[in-house]
Amino acid sequence: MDEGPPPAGRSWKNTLQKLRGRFKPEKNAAEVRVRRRRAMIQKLHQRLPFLKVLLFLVGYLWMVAIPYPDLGRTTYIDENALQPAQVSTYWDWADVHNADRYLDDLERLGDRNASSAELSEFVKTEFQKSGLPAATQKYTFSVGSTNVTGVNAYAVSSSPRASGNEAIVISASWIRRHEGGPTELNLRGVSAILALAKYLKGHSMWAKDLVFVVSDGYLDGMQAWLGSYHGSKQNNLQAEELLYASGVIWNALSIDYACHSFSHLGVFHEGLNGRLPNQDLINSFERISRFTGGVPVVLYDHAKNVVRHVGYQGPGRPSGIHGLFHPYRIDAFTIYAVCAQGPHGFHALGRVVESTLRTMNNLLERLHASFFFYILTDATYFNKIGSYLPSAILVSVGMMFHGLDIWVMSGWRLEEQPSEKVSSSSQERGWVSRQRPVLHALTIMMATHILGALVFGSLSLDNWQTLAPILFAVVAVVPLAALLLRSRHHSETAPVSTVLKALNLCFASTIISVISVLNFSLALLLAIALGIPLAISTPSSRLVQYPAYILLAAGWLLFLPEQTQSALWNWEVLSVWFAPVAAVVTLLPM
Amino acid sequence: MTMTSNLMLFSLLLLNVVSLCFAEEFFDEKLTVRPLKDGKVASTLAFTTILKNASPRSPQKLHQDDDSQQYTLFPLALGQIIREYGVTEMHLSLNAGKWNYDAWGQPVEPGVGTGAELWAWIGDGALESVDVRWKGLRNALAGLFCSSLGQLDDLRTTSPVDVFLPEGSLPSSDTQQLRHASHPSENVCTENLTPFIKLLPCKSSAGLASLLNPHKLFDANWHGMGDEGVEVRLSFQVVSDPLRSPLATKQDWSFSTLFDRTVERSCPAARSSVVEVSLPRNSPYSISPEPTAAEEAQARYNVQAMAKPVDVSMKWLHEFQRLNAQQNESPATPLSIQRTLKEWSQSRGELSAAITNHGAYPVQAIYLETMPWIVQFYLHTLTATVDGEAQPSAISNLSYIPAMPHSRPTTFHVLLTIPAKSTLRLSMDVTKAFLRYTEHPPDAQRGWDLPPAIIYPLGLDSQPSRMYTPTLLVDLATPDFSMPYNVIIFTCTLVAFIFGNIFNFLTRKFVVVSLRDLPKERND
Amino acid sequence: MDTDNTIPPGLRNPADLFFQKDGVRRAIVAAYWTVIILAIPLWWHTTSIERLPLPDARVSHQVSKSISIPVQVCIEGASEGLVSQVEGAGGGGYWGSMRWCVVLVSPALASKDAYVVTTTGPERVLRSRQLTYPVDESHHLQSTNFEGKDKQNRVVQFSSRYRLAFSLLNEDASAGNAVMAWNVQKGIQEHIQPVLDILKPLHNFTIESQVQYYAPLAFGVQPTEDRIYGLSYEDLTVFVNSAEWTLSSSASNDPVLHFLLFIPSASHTPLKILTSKSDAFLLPQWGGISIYNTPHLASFAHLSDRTLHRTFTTFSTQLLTLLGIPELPAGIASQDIIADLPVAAGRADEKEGVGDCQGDTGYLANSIENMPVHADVRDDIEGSLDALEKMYSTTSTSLSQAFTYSAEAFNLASRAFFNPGMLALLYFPCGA
Repeated sequence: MDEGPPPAGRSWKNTLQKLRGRFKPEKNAAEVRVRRRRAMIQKLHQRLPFLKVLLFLVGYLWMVAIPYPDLGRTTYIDENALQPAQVSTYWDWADVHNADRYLDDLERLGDRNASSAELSEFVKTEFQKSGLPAATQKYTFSVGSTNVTGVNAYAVSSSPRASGNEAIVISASWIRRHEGGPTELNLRGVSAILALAKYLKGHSMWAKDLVFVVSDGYLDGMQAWLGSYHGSKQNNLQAEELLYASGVIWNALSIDYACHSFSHLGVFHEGLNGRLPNQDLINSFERISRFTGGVPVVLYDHAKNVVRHVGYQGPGRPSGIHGLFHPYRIDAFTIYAVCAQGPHGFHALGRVVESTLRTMNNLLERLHASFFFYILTDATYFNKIGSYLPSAILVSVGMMFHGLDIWVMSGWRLEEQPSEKVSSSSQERGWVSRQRPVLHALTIMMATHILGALVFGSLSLDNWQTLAPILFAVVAVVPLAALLLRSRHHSETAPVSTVLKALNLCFASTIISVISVLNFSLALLLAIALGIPLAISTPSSRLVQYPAYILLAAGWLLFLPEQTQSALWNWEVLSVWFAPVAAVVTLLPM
Repeated sequence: MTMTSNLMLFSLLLLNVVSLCFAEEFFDEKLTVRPLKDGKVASTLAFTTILKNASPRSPQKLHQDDDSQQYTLFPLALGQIIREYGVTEMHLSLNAGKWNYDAWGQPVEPGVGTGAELWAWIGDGALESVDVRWKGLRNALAGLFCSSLGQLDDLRTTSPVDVFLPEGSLPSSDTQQLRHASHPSENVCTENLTPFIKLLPCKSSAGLASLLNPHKLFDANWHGMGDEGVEVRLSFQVVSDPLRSPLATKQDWSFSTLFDRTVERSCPAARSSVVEVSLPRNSPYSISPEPTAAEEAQARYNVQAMAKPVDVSMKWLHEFQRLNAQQNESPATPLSIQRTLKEWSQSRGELSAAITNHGAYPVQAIYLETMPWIVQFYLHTLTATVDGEAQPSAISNLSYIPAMPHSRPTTFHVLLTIPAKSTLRLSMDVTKAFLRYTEHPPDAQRGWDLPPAIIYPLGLDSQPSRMYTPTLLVDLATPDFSMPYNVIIFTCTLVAFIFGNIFNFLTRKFVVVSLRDLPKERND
Repeated sequence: MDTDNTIPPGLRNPADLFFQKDGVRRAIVAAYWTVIILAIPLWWHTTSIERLPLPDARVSHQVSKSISIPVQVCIEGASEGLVSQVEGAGGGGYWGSMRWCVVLVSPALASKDAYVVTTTGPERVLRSRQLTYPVDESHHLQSTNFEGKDKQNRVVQFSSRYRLAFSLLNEDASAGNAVMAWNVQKGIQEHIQPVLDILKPLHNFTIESQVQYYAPLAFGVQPTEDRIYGLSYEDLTVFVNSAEWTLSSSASNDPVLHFLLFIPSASHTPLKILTSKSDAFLLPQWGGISIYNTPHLASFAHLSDRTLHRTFTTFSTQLLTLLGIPELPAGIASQDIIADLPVAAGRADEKEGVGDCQGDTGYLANSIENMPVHADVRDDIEGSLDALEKMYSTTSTSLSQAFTYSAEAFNLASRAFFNPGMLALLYFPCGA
């Protein structure tokens, strides 16, 4: 703003002139400024290749460094109301005896492998014997042509003096958590639930309702129960209305305890679509288990590593039935008894669970401190969002730079022969602007996305396994169509492939940086899968690269059938959006 | 605790001309104990003070000096408040816990909605408007009972006249107005019981009132206080669970187990003090001491005549069958209600109520929602289904007073016709308000308690009584109050960025600069 | 500015973009400046606290003033000796915190509230304001100087409205001897009402009464020898057990005078006050308590008339003491005199009260920096000052007139002092 309000008189104008002279001694500072700016831009542009490489390098190195404990810090309790391990527990051997009796009955039922109807009926009756209003719920999922059916059993122990507006869920699934492997029954988990129900209702200190759920199957049962509890509509699910309802569920924990005794308690916490529970919950459980139960806590079952975390979170599949609670804004996790020759059993488990419930019972509000973004590298170590997010972001920034660079380059071309063109007054060889075939590029991108959608759609047919090779072939052939586009390439327009590559890079980098906040692991995977390949892809020497890219893009059709299967199942039953995203997005490179 | 009170006041002329002799004030106390079918035991203590020749203070006289008030048994503190604000009839109830109609049946005192509920009939025509006096009444009672009744403000005050009918006879002289408010998140505890006890002539040191033992009462599953009639009636309801501990097998109870006290001495001020125990029909039991009088289903004790200490106790022969109680038992009330709020986003949700008629005849009932403005109805989405299929005819006489943001609650009032042996489901979309940051409570992330809906069955029995649904908890869009500065920083950055750019463009001077000697670059 | 260089064809000259015209740019810049300048007073207004100046000087001046009340005496058939005596007394004296002085007036211009002394008469009589007595006893006139200075300041804060709360307290009704009820109406009608009628011009009274059956003492009473339970002076100070006895009444803000008839339980009978023979004692500025030991241990349906009579006479004297009415010399009792004295006394008290209120208000306002002082506070203070001045001016002419002014002054001053607006300190919201 070198101009104030209009000048009043000549003298004043002179002084203004003088002042101006003071501020800009030489006549055209503007020119100097422009020169300086250009010099800077040029320097930057010269260093650009180096910068890109640096970004990629640092990004990938950072990713590798995430598990390194020095990057993180020890866990702590943020919410003061929790007061973990501050109560004295009353769970004693009589209750353990109850649990054992329940276990015997259950084992008997298990041996003559009773139908889920019988099992749930048994559980319901046991609940009622201990004086709780209990009921069962039938449900049926239709996945493709196959139907998944089952029966849940649940009981509500309403808190003595409170309004019953808040509730805590204690749950166990009939089939214990497994990753595709053979399934085994979670008998001890269920009998622990039964014994706990009988025991916990005898106390008057509960400020929240306690809801005990024994869900059928592994994930499907709980999904159905939660669905009808919250009245969310899912069109491939028929489930009965719940007979007894309670208040808003704030916290939930599920027990997974199969073998005779355990040495450690494991924590599983990843939820649907990579949602995590509030870390306070896990931290307080860890402390309670250590101090009250005397049981050391591990992440997962001993094999604690970030790769596994990424493996759960990236595809967005839950690492246990607790994961199904997260979409309803319920903080939940699974207590997993790590099989061993001892020393711990129902006694320790009961005390830990009781104390954990008391801690949840202490809450006056939902867990709300922003404690939802973290990577547990160990039961007591974690990385804050600030210490892992940059890795993916750096890569995506690198991709963005690369893309922009290519974009700029594609707009210009070197003129050899001297000419008096209408372009910027040039004597000898100089840069001449040329058009970019943006439309073509966009068409191709759209086409690929549509293709991806088609492939995904065809996958949701039943016999997609047989279809897979055909699909693969299609996916492999279709891009050749692009050749036709490339054929008629002349000097006024940039090659489609360059523009396409530029747009792809920018697009991918945007996706990565957006997803990195929603689901970091997925962003990580995408950064690895798309970063380098897109960056180094060139239109030339297709013979070598083409198959590689096709494999990268559509290989999962052939070589990872069961992962695809599970991803699909997750999409249809649990509405995890990994599958569609993967199908649509990863078909990009060409 | 539930404490309802319904007071008729003295005409001062009467008091001054005919000096009030003690014969005109009576105090009766009565304890009713009912074993419930789910093994719990409900006990109701009712303390009644009757005043003859009483009539309310005329609103027209409110601005003049009040005449003297002479009481012998009547609680003076209450009398002063009532006279100060010219209240004709008043019910206050403080409840903790949630009354389970299916298992426990109709309560002796109907007002069992969770939290605090206050409603009063106030004579109109005074210099001060009814609302001003209602406000004064609220604050005075809040002071008297150490409760946060002050929060029953205009945000919660409604006037649903045909559900809250006066229980005394209103004076026909001047028009009466109803004010009703309820506050579900009122926590009831000892400091509310103490002032309640102080209103009794014998405090808690003699008579049945000596059973009011805070430590035991607040261990109960449900408790409440109340009062009623051409008189003050303070009553106290408790539901306790003799079977709570897993080891307990029988439904046995006695004063010492229920209240951890016995009646040591009788209250000399009481005209009568009676204990009524309703006897179980179909299971062998023994009751001690021997009742003074026993009908087929009820044992009566006259505490004053009995030898002290009195400790009525009841023992069962057989163990209590939890399983039977759960399975083959029909609900204790002809209607049972379930009310849920399904929230599928931070701004929208669906409110639905399912009313089941267990009886063999269709039932007509008034359904009343008095909802604070934070939850607003989309009335056009109101649907009624009977056993699954839509049946609009089930709804009639719908009256609806929409909410005013930040000021007035919704009053939704509809007459339902529930066919025999079927379930009527009302459902309606609601929108959730976006609050100003000053309107959030200190525990913002807990959510907001919504008052119970009220079902008022018509023509079920001689005098219909209200049924309260459980309260609800609604999550509104809540900022993370733990870190407000992040919000401030983000917004400021954004504003600064936008403003900076616009400012720059508007005030910058563009000039053409010629760069002759410059070698041609590729980016101009 | 430097437009000497050539603009390549196809590119427009930025100088002739519409918003690059000097006028437009100046306007834009000016607009920014105007907004900023206009915003300043708004900002100032919204962030500053209104603090009006209070008339401290006037307040202190008023407080320093002392008032004296002329008692108009008109002597008929004056004898020299008497006049000189009266003038001798004319120096006046103090009653309560108030100074009075005698002003002699001739019968001709005696106003209606002058005291007329007639020396022609057989014996001393005092009828309304007419004092008649034989000449030879003239020295007696001196003795009618009132010496009722309130020593242990038992007198309650003056107020135009009082609530009288009569309570019958049984220490433990079910423990044997108790009185279930009393005919409080009768007692009030016979003993309290006359006094109230006299005081009508001064105060409004509302009466309430209650009976309590369990009013335990907060302290243990030890039996002395000869089976008497004695209350020491310390016991009396903590006698009222406000935690257990529900005496406080929340309905209105008028000052309450409590009158308790306490009936000790069988285990504490007889209960005596060690320091005095009487069964009644008075808690300064709070109320009166009288203890009744039932003659033989039994519960009574209601209080015998004798006891009722005795109790309420005690109450009425206690009431007079609390209100600051002195005992008059024997044989001289007149409603008007009784009525006049508290007027004056009350006014004197009030004047002090007013001074305190005003002074405190000013002090507060000066000591707390960001306490807002709005117009209403200032107006109240000034209004009360004006009322005070009117009071001074009317003191000599009409007592009752002055009384109304002082009452007004007091009310205004206290209203200013308790003005809620002064509590509203200025806060800035800090997120949550």
